[in-house]
Amino acid sequence: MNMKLPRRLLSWLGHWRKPAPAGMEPDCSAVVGMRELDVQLMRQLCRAVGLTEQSALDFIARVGDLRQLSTELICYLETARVKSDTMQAGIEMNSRVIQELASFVQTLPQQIAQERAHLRLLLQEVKSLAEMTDTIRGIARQTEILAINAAIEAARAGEAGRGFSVLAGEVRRLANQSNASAARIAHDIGALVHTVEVAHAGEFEVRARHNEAEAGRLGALTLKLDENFLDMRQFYAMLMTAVTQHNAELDRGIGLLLDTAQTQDVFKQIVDRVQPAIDSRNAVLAELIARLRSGQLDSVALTARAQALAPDYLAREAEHRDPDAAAGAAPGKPAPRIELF
Amino acid sequence: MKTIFIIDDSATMVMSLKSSLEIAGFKVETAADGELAMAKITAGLKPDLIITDINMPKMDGLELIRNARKVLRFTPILTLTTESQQAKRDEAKKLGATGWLVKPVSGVELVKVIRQVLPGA
Repeated sequence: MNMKLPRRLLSWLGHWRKPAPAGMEPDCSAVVGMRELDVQLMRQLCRAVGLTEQSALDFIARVGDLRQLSTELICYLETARVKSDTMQAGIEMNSRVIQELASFVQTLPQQIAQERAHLRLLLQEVKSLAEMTDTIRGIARQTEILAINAAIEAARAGEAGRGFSVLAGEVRRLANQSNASAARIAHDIGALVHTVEVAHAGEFEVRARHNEAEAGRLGALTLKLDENFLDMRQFYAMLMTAVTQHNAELDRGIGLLLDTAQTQDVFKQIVDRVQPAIDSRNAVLAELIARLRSGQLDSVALTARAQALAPDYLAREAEHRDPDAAAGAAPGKPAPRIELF
Repeated sequence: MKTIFIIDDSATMVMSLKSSLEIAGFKVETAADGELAMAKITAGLKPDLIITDINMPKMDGLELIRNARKVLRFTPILTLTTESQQAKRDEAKKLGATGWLVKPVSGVELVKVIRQVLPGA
């Protein structure tokens, strides 16, 4: 802490702290005592200035530390912002993927239902094929009867119907073959329909219904996931805004604290200006003491000087008036606080 | 980055202004009186703007403006002082000061004035 007294004050102290000469008049001793009080008062004022200066320096240093933290926070926020932008892009892409997935999954139950309907339709068509084999078998039976009748008629015709009898035999054999083929086809279709119906009615139906339900559930989940992504993005944006705003306020607060520290300099200068006023007052006192010592009683000029001490001091102080405080407190327009030439 | 040269014998004033201006993005150089300031200018310091106190030991602000103007003819010089009387303002203006500011001045106000006299700062 810088507690050095101004050189002028030290010189004055050296001069006036000498003990009063032996035999000095009581009035002179009283004046010397008053001067001693001045010395002590000035010393204390200087000490007070030193203390406030040190406090102000400590204060500024601590505010500087806060400012450093604030700067680091700003750097962190900037890094976070860059990362956030990257993350945001990732989230948006994920969100698009999820939305696509959701719309696909949402169509799955409908697709599964359609597949089931198609399968049922196919089964109906296969069954109608089986009905067609009955028709074929009916035709084959009628053809056989027709061939038998033809063979009977050919036998009645004797030699003339021999060739027709051979043809009737061929037709009958063809009808038998058709009947056998139709019976085999009907059997195969029956077996196929049975297999499909058994499968469809059993495990396939259960699995299809389960898949349909799962697809519905997944669709709802993906939609919920997308909503969560959106919420997270909004929350993060809100958090960034709040922290940035908070930091800006912190920075403004630090600026105001730094402004406040300037008052210490103004205070110091006010105290510094007391010194010349006391010096002037002490010069008058010194002359008064000299006159008392020498027995000179005419002190009109000295009294005038003493009476001018306070107005002179105030006049000098007016040169350092705060323009804001001077407005309205003194006649005339005060000079502005900030003036650009 | 613009450089501001602060000259003041008050350590608190220098530290306070330095911090405020650094927050605002300026580079700050300092000196405790006019003589030390002139030594830096003579050594080659070319600030974009000077802010000087008036009452200082060794070389006061007015004398500093007079001397600095011989080297830095176009650099804006602002005075920052507790003095508010017109006569001294007029003298500073005559010597080449750009503006007069009475202490205390808030950091926000100061930066506003600096940006007025230093376009692009």
